[in-house]
Amino acid sequence: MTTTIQENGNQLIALFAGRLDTAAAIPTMEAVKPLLEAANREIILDCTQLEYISSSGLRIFLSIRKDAAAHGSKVIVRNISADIRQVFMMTGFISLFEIQ
Amino acid sequence: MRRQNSEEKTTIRSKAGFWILLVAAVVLEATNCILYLYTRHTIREEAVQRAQSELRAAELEINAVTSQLEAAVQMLARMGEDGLGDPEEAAKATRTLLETLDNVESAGIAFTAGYYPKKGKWYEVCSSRVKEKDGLPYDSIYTRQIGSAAHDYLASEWFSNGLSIDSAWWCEPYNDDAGAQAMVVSCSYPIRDKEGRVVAVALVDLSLEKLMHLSQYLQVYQESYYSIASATGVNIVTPPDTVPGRRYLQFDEEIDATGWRISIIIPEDILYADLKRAGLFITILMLIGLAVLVFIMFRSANDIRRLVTVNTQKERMIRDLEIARNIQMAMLPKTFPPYPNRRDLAMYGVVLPAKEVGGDLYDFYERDGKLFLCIGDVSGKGVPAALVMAMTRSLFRSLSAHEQDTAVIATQINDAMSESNELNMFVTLFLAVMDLRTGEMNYCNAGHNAPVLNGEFLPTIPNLPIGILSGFAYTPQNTTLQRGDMLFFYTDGLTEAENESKTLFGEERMINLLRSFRAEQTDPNDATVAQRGIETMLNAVHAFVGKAEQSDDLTMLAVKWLPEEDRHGGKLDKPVRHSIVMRNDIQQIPTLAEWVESLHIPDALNMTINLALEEAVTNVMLYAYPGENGKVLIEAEKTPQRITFTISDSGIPFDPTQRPEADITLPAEDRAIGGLGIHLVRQIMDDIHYERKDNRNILTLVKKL
Repeated sequence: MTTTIQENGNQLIALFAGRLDTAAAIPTMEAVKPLLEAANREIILDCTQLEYISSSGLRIFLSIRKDAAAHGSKVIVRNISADIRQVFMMTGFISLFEIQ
Repeated sequence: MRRQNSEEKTTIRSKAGFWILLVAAVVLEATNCILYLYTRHTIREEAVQRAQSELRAAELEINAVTSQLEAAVQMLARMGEDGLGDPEEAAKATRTLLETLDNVESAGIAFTAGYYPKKGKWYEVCSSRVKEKDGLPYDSIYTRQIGSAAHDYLASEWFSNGLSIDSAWWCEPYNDDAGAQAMVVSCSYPIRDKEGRVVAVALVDLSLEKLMHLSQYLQVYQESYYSIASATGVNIVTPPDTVPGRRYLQFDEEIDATGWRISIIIPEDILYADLKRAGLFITILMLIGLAVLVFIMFRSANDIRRLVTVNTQKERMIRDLEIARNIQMAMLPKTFPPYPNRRDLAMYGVVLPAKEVGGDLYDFYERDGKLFLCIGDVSGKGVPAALVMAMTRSLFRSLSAHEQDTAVIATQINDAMSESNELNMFVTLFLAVMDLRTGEMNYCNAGHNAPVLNGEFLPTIPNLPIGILSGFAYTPQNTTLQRGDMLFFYTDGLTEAENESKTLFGEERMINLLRSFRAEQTDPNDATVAQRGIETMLNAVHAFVGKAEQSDDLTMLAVKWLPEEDRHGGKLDKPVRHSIVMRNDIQQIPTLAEWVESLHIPDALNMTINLALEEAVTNVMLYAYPGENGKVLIEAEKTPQRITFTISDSGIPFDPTQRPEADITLPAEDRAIGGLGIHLVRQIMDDIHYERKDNRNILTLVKKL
């Protein structure tokens, strides 16, 4: 599991690759810390290469979403697979995020 | 709609009232009119009769007087003729006449001009009665000569006619200023000398006073009038002036001798005064009668309206009861089979509501591989029973959501119900929690009829019905069912169903029927058995009861625990078993994914099953061994139909099914970070089941393939 953060103008893009399971959640949480403090940015969670997500991963997404809203930033989830979309559906995350 | 109808009814009713009133008024008024006209006619007829008879009487009376006076005047004329030689003889004659005939008031003889040269041109002697003197009664005759230039009788009508008419003749009334000194009518008769020449006129007066006295009984009514007129129409007795607009009845009679016309004049209003008074009285009575009628009708209309209102209220109450009944029935699970996907469970239930709303209830639901079930009967009927029933059912639902011990559930329901039991109603209730994997059944009987297991009464401690004694500790019981066992639950509506001769259906009949039904069953895996069992019982009850009215709700519920895998009679599939042991370290999680991969689960389910398993195992790793190392055993048992995971550990008691679930409908700001894991497990798995056994936590997850 790797997490890469790129900056593109006002955008902060987090690229997730691999399986975001319970074990991977701890380093991933560390990796996305810059996103939690970003104010007035457009945060893009790129899931093109994300294979799997568990509830620990969902919790990270929710933390980013909550902190971004608190700092006036906007969160967009990009390119989720059918499997991950199913998990988003089961948990109601589908209506919490703007999904591209 | 209904209200509109009743308004129409009221209108029709008040219309009918109006017509009755109108007809009554018309009939009364018509009766009054007919009576009035008839009476008026009778009064008039009577008045005519009376007037005519009075007129005849008056005529006779007057005739009697006038003929006496006519005779008197002839007598006077003869005396006058005899005494023509001496002028004083005439005076004597008049005096003699008065002395002889009491009923003559005054008499006189008037001579032609200068008959006695010594006496001058005018010579008329007369005698009249003096009735009083100096205010005292006085009877005397006053005789004197009254002819003079001032009293020039020669030109008067009576004198000229008296000379020329050779018979007793009544003159027109005139004012006798000299003789009687009053209005008089006089009867004259000529006096002839020896040569047959008329030389004087004898005269007898009839005073109008006398005449009026004679005719006084012409006054037939107190305020009626009469008149007497001479032949030429001069009034002798003058009636008062008629009032314009007043109507008069007039009756006339002519007196043959004198040619006078006597009339009776009756003002109609006088004639009909009594009738009018009576008519007025009758009209007032009639109006009072009508008013009373109106009052009575208004009262009765009010009564009818009240009756209609009462009826409407009753209808509404019946409707309310129906609604209560429908709500009540809607609470009971009525879809059978309730779990079409469960191959190990056959269930069927029925409620036959009595005419009145009763208080029977049953409810069941499945949670985590356990069947939660209750059946009960609220004492009493009607809306209160329905309310208590609804309350019991909702308490059962809410309290059993976090509790699996039926005695605890019963104790809690009892405490809640006793606290607010103002209606003093109680509920007999049987509670059971049945483990659909192991057959273990925990049950508690709160005063309800003991269920029947395979044709035998289940041993029950009766405890107390719910709602009687707050704080009562209910005792639980346990039994283990075998696959193929059938449980039959019922309310006393079954055992106490009455036929027309008041015999009860009874427990014996019920047990015997259940036994014979059981004996008839050949296929132990027949899922229709529950429904058929209930229907057999229903038919038996209907046949027994006949036409007797059902007095109480009748509720039955049958539960059959079937062999799981082999429901359709096919070959038993041999399960494939795998297992993995992990340390309580979340870094082990990726290994779990690999292990799941090796189970060859269909691709479509692979990710979600992996997710559910990861969430369940993570929970155990995080919470079962706080601060220490431990192991987690994960076993998989796979058949073509399903895959069953058993996650077990030897940590502290931890039931993940009791953890609060995340509310996934909340907005991001309100969403809790935790609770998602167990939610995902429930979402993904078909069955989740926890038990603590031999100091181990055992969590079972089942997914159909």
